[in-house]
Amino acid sequence: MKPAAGVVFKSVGDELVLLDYDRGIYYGLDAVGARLWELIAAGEPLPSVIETLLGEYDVSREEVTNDAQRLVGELRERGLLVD
Amino acid sequence: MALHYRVYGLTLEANEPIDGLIPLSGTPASPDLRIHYRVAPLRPDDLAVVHEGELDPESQTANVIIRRSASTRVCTIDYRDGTSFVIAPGGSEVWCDWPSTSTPEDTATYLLGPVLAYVLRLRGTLALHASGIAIADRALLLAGAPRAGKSTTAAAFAKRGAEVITDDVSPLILEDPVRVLPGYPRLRLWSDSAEALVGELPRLTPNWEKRYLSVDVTDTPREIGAVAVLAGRAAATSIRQLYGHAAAITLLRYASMTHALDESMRAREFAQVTKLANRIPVFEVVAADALDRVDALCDALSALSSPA
Repeated sequence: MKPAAGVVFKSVGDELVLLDYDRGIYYGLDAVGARLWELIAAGEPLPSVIETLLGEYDVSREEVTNDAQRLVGELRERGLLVD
Repeated sequence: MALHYRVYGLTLEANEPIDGLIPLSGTPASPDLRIHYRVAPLRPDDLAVVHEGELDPESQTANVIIRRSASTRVCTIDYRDGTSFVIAPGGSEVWCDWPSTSTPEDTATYLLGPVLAYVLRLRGTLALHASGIAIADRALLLAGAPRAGKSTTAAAFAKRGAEVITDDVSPLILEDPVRVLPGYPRLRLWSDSAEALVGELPRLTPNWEKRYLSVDVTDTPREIGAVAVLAGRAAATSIRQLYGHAAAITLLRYASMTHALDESMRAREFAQVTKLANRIPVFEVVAADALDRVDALCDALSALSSPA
């Protein structure tokens, strides 16, 4: 899984803004979403991303797993992440 | 004889007077931009539409069409009233012509607004669709959609003695500190706002209801304290600070001529705006929907651009 070609991203504080060039649409990710994106963009698979987030945030495994899967699903649906 | 002007950080050389600008007394060594009034150069054959403005319900024609040539990178901006502009690659020259039903004053309203805003973008300068005023040596930029109240609020500040920096086009120097370049010595106001705030004012052009208020503009970039986005009207004024992606995406919405950028300009804009959002506080302002409460709005906005 990786960012789609034509999607660029920039940090604003600890958050992230994504630009989908082809469709000319901007998306925003909060701090946790930004960290997830950063890890995926660096080539980490989702299970490893979840482990990293668990180590960095004080939340349950179930919560991190659900949130990460939901966000990844949404990003894939919007064409921002591809295989 | 050529005339020279300064506006938005650019030195202009023009073959005819530009309404609203004050000519420079000397002759600058080399202008940044040459303006040719009443000259219509040949247009490239491969002009393609990059933006169409709002459609007139009756004629079903767009109020403005922007085109670009892929081979020459020449751009054109054509208005429904027949006024047309041709812009050289990189924004180094502008040629303009207009029909007998229009006037040089009409042409200047386009030139000093969207046309020069687009020239700035072609030259790589980020500009916001915002008016700017100075409060205690720092600029407060008032961004927003057309009719959001940018110029009216700036005029209310001017009435209180604040210095006006620019109207409607705020070109930025993205260094540390971030600064705004000054515009020209006028604020453009709708007649109802003008009447309520300052009384009767001269018409901007014989063909348009807008009026202008003359102001003093100094040719010095000003450090920006904050951007206030005028986001709507309600019964009472409310202000909230935007952070992170919300601030950046809001600023992207109010970048000048953002609808007419090509891919490389869009990439540059994205980098510039995120940089801006990282450095300057951004506030969303819902203003009280009454001109007699504009003083209270100015009071509330005055605090935003002060150093933390």
